[in-house]
Amino acid sequence: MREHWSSRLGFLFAAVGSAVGLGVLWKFPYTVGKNGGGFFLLAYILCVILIGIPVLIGELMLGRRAQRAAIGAFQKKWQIAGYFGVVSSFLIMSFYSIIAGWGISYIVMSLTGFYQSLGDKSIAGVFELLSHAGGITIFWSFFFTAITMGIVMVGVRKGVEYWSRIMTRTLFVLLIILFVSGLRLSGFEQAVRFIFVPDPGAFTFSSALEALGLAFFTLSLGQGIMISYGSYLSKKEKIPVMAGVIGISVILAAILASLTIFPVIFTFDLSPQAGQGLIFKTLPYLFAQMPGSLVLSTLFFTLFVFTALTSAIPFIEVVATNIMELKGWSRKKAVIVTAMLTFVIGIPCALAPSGALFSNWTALYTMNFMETIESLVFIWFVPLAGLLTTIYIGWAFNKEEAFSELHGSSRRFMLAWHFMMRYFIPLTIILIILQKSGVIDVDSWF
Amino acid sequence: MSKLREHWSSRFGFIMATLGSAVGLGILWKFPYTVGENGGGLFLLTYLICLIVVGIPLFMAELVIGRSTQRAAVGAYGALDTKGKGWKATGWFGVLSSFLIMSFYSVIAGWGMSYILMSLSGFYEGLSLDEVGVAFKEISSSGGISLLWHFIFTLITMSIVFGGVRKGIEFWTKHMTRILLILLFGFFLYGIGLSGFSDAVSFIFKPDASEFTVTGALEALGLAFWTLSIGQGIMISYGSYMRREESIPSMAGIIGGSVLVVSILAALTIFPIVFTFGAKPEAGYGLIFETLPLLFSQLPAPMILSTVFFTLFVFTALTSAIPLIEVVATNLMEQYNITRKKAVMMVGIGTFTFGIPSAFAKTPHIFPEWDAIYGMNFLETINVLVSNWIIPIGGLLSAVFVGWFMDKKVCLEELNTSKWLFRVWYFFIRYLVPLMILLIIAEKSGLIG
Repeated sequence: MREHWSSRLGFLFAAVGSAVGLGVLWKFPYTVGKNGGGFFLLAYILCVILIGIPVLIGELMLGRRAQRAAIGAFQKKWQIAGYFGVVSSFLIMSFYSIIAGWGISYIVMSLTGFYQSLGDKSIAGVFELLSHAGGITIFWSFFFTAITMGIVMVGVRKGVEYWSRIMTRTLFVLLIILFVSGLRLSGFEQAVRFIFVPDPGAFTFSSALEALGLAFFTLSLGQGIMISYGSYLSKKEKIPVMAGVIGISVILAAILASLTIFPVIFTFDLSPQAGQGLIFKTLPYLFAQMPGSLVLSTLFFTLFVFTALTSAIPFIEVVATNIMELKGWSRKKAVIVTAMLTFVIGIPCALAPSGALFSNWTALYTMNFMETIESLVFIWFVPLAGLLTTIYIGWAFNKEEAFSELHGSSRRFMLAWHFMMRYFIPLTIILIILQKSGVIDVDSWF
Repeated sequence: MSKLREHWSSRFGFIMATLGSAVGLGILWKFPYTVGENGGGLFLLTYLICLIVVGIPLFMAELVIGRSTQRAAVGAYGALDTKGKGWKATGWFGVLSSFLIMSFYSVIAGWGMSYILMSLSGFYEGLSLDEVGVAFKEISSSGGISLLWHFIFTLITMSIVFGGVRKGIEFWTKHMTRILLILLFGFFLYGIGLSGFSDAVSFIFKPDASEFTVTGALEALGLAFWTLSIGQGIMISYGSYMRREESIPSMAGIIGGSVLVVSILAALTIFPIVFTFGAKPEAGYGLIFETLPLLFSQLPAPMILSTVFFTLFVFTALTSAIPLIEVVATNLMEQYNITRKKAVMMVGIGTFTFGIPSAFAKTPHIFPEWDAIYGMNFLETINVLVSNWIIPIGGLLSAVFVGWFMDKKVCLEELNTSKWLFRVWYFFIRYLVPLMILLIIAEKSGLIG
């Protein structure tokens, strides 16, 4: 008997928790500014609504219809789509746990009150120390993986749903607390302008594609997750409504996150720079300047870790349940093996910055081990999974069967959705893949 | 739950087990060095206040939670959280604390074991005072040796917990705690005659405002939690083995009073030694290892005294470590439906492994960059994390749950006592305990001056 979510809210918390990940918390904020503020935000919202939500509807529908995890949800010849998704989840988990582990480390650092006493160069230097300390990085990543594993092992209701509920709720509370504490900062106004005011100069067509890609990733699509979560959904829920709620929650979280991080940066007159540097170098330095830095810093990194956890849970869940279905293993066995394997793959990632392992990697592949896996996943696997999924649903999957799953919506809506899945969305995904892999450059067309 | 739950065979058994848990961990080890680091008098007063305002009410609350549900921490909160709002997580806080504490505590207890062997091998012969003091540095910076003792201690603790509540825990703690208290009193009497005794008395009792900083309040709070073994799921488990006829308020009174007396006794035993031989009160978690051998080396038959003392130290370390493993194991047993044997094995392996960096904390062999990133070594980091944060926050959540979300009737039934006393307790749990903890946390984080 397949487990099911105990309630609608349980599913929503788990799905929103999965979607609101590190992509929403830090990738989105710095991408907004870099790509023309208000225009980008508008583009992102449009993409979530026009692309993200339809694909989300498709994945949920597939999962619930088949009552199977990703791979089994597809018919025989199309299962490669499921495989791409599952492998993506697996690979993402391996480096995600490294970054999340750093987040845990920063919670501990905040609590011991040590880093706050260092000067700005030393604070940034601490991150260098940490990321180059292979042993310590592996230690925290193991801890994070173990927690995730423990939660998933317990099952869908008592594990995934129960903890996602607690953490997603806390996540939003923390986000609001941090947001409110940022209202009084002098940089708040500037942050609002930065995010909402359109800057035509910085917005290009590659920005539009960036918004598209981001909309896709921030909804946990193309990773087999929403198919799995859909398979636990009770038949009476209305999928389009669920998808709408999830989409809007993600947009809200993204805006809140930006309005939390940027006031801090602008108050201290810094320019927002991209990447892990922002979260682990700039923000800690800024927190240290503010009153109550210990609390702020701890709250922020707790938010960071909870965000990561609610996204990591489905990574392990997805891989494990697919293994369970394909090989007939028990949940316990599948979860433990999955967790161990992601941890093992994560070891070269942990050692990547210090170059302690595979020291020739960067010379061969132009980026370090962790970055290589990241690009493989985000440029190829996830978009391919998404592409194949939408083509499958739009062309191979029985239209009326799909429509019967989407009960409660008007026929016009369903036809429009089907049109998107058939033509518009696959085309745009192909565009993303070509752009991100450097085959084309849309900006040069105009 | 069809299995009949074990219970303490007598009130005395329960008191000894609880006191045993408190004495080794909190009183002999943590209390003296924390008082030393925070400058005596005023700190002791803060500790006393925390004990009375926060410690005792929470102690009673944990017993209530345990006995009313007859479950270990996680299951207990789960059962009482009738609306399923996620309070079970509070139970896991305690389990996490116990796990983390056990991981480094067995390293420290392991050093105690090492001192037994050192005493037997004639360690004291012909050594000067300085050399005796330096010995601790040597052993704590020897990763391999620390690891060995850490392993042995973990193994012994595990085997006792295998035996269950009556045959394992109650049996051993009854005897060990009794003997330790007698010995402690003996040393105390001897210490009165030492030259440093009056210095010790003024250090401990005289308030010296210049020494006491605001950070001391959080340490005092953490200490109150340690010496009462609360915030770790222990008293919930111990409460679940209590019989319905016992009076929780009188238990709390007896234990609270005993803890206070024994704490001061321990301080009045150790600090005269510190001041007589010119050791540093702020020595940190190694204080007991650096001061007591000094005393022994000056006494006749140092080998016997030292062996006896450290054997007893290890015994009481055991009575503190046993509940730590017990708590984590029983919660796993109840939540995941595994056997006691399997659970204890998992926990033992887990705490041992997690404790490996602690065993090597003073060496550069594992995590050499740790000190530069966290400002203190691995063992100290985990210690600070648990004592100053995880346990107090767990206590805060406990108090809020009991005072605001739990069915008041359950408390009334369990604390079958005078109306006046109940109202006082309930008021404390509802308002004073959370307020006090929040205030102290706010102070520590620089939110208020």
